[in-house]
Amino acid sequence: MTVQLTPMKMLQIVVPGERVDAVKELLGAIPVSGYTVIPNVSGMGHHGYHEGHLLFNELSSQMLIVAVVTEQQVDPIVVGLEELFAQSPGVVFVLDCAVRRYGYFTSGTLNPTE
Amino acid sequence: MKHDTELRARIRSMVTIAFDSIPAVWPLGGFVATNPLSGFEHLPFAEALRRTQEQTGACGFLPEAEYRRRYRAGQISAAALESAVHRSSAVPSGLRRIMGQPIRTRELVWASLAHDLRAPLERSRLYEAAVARIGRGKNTGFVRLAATTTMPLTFGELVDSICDTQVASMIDEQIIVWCAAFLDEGQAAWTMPYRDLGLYGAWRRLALHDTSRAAHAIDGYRERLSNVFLYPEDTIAAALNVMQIPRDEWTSYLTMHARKLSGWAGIAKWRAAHPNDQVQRAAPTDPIQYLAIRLWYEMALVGTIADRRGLAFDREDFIARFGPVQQNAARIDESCLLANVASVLEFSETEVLALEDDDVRWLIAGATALDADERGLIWLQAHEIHTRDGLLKAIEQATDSNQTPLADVVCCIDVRSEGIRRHLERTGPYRTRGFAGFFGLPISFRALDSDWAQPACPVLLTPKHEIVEHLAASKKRARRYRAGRAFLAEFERVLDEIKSSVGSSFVLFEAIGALFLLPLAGRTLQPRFFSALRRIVKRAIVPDVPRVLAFEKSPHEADRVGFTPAERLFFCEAALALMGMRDNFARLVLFVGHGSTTENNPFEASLDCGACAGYRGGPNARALAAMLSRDDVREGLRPRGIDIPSTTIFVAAEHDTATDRVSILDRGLVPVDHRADLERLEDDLETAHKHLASERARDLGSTRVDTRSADWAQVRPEWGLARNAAFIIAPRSMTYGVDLARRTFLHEYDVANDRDGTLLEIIMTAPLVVAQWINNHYYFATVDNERYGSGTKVIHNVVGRIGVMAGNRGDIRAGLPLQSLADRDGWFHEPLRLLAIVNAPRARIDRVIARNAILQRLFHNEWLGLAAFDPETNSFWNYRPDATWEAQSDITGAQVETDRIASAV
Repeated sequence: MTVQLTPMKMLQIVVPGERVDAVKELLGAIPVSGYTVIPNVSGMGHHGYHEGHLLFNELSSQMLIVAVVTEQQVDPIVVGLEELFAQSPGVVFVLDCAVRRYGYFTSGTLNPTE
Repeated sequence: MKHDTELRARIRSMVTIAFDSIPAVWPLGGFVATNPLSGFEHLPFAEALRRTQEQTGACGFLPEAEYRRRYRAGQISAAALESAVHRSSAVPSGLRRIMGQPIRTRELVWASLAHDLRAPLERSRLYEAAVARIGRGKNTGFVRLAATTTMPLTFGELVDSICDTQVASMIDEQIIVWCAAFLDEGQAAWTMPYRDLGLYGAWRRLALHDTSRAAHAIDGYRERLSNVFLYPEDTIAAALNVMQIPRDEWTSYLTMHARKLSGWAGIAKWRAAHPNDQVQRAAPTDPIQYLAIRLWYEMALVGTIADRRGLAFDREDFIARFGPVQQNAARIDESCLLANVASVLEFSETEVLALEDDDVRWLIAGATALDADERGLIWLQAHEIHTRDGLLKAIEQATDSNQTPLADVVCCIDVRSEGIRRHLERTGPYRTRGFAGFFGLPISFRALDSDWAQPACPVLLTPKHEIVEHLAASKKRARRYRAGRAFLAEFERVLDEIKSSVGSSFVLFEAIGALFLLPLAGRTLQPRFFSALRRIVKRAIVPDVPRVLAFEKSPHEADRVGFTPAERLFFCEAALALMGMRDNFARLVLFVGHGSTTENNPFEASLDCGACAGYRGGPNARALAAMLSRDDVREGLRPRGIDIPSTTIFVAAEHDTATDRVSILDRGLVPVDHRADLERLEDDLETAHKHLASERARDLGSTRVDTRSADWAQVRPEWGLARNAAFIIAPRSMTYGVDLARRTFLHEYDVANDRDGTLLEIIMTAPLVVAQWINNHYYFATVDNERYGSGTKVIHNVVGRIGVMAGNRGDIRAGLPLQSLADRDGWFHEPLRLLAIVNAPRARIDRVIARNAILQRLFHNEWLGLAAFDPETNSFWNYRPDATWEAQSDITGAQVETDRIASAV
């Protein structure tokens, strides 16, 4: 028996800690049903090497945010991030992926204003 | 549909960027000092000031007269001013021989700073000679003494300036009214309905019933309102489109609006960043909703005016037709200027009359070569050089203690700890250390019977572990405690209800109003006695009970509560390593948190511990002491090279910075055989308290410090962190015995225990960053109290338990009040950029800076100064913004060299 998989997109977003809230709010407003935040990641980028050593400062360390979204949600997210990255550092990668439980990744909540 | 979602996402990010320059405003209970210009830290300090001045009209320096007063009073030395002029890149080079005398442009600039060249000299003979030479009342064409600014205007402000309308003030009024009602944190007796819909949603529902002057001023108000979009992003986009703001200016236009009431905007920003906050969950808001309402009113009001007057609804068109509003540069009398220059250069009247035209022009050009910002920066640098020289010289006088310590006392790095440490060390053989007052624990603290856990770590961190306080009393005592608490809570609730209810409030005061006179008189006439009495009565109703902290993860509690054994070991090891305590422990180790007890003071939290998110530091000290008292923790630390003898105990305490009393916490946990040690320490702390209290009383005037603490009419219970100037990262031996006048943050650091620089990196990226926020918070509140501070406390009103407003309507004032910075004799605080002094080899500091963008930003853009005491050269070095070092002795040495060359010319 083969497992039924649904193709989706995975976003990997790397931003400084001080931008994590903005990214979370952006994903929440799309709405994306969930995401994972990996704090204090290290690596090389345009602003040099980030070692991920900072014990008591989350705002200045780099964070990786991973989210799985539908094909239609990719453009608005990338457009929003593009606006953000025009003024402050950050990158986004869009990858193909597949999930077993499609509904689990598409049951987001609506904007809280109404 | 997809297009809409994309536009909304774009607007969201634009608003995020627009709010970068708006500092988040913390709720009153957890005041956090931030740099009001944190959004500009990517720019050099001087450039950031210039830009904010252009955009908002804010001042970045003290008035020049104030610097000059300090110069005359010796608070800025002549050598420091000369050195600052010499080092300034703004001063043009130039040398001219006039009347046989070589004169450098630098000297003219110095003269224009040290002397007020605009000082009237009407009756002097020099002035008459200058008038004869130039002509009376002629204004110089060279004057740039005051900067010319062109402040950008919103569409509403532009319309106001042209049509004499009040669009801008009406928008502000609406925002204040709606935000005050919506954001209320429990002050209002009748709360606003529909708060669960969010600020924008509630406003959409309720604005239809608004009868304010703004509602009357908008044509077709109800119709316009009924068409308001569901999504706030759509309203923002619609307003920007209708007002024909060019797309590439949307972000900067939103920034202008965000800055108009930056206090209210800052609260919206804080709320959005704290989605789990109790109030935010019940009444959600964020910068997008906030700006949507602002822009809707602007669009509606300006649209109405444009329609009525037949004007085009186009801001660019308005600007092209009417132009931006310019502020004029100050002009000064050229003859007066020449006379003053001649006086400084010691020219006679005859010499003034004999000056060539070119000489006159050259002298005036030199004396007016710099604009106000450039002059301000030189004054600031001179002030900093003077303070740094004094501080480094004082540190060179340090003498190490070689006595065996009776106790290790670890205090917060806060500048106020320096006082109690110094006096305690003078009283007895104690070894004191400085460490961030949250004691390295990223925790939140839930006090006994509280349903809310207060954050208890710097705002750079999210609390990850909740520490819960439990009752540890006998059943009988616990019963009495709970009954007393319930009675008191009920009594306060009923009294509150009667006082705020429409009918009963009159009856209450008719019937028992006279009884309120007793506490009123007590508080006013005998504040200390009344405060003690109140404590006694309260204790009679709710007895003191022993409490313990639970920090073990329990299967019955949520994940956030407590630490796992591995986490306990990790945080204990990190804390001890950062305090420089690996061996050689005294019998008694005291961890001292701090807080401030004051009365009737909405800014109370600003006096508590900055490392504990603006709360008292006692819980953190208790938690670390309790963890280190456990056998399993001590055993776990041994293989890691930290051997705590079984005879060493850890005790927590709290320093009240308003009274300078240090109280021992969890006294019941102290073993019997250590009681005598503790009593001796307490006696010495009492002596230190007396000396420090009298030292501080001198700074505050003649009143006793504990009277100020208990006085409900006192606007200045303590000076807080005023006059903070430096952050020393070094072993205590480097500063032992030196009176640092409560102006320095002190963090323990021993380079020998930090092979790879990890500890230095932690200190420089966290405590130093928080101290920089505090320093800039004080700096900007002093140089422009109206904009960055909160003005006089006398007219402050607390609104919605969120913040304070001046009077009954206005912006939330988040900065420090005037009384925290100045007294009747003038400014007490000296606005200086924080100087970090690090005891470590320069190469190690370079490596730490090179791997942290935040440190590069702060040091290279000159938001922070840096000096190193390099053990390899045994001398001080000064870090330059181009990432190179210069010997401290070169700062004045280079100038002497240039002077020698100039004299030879």
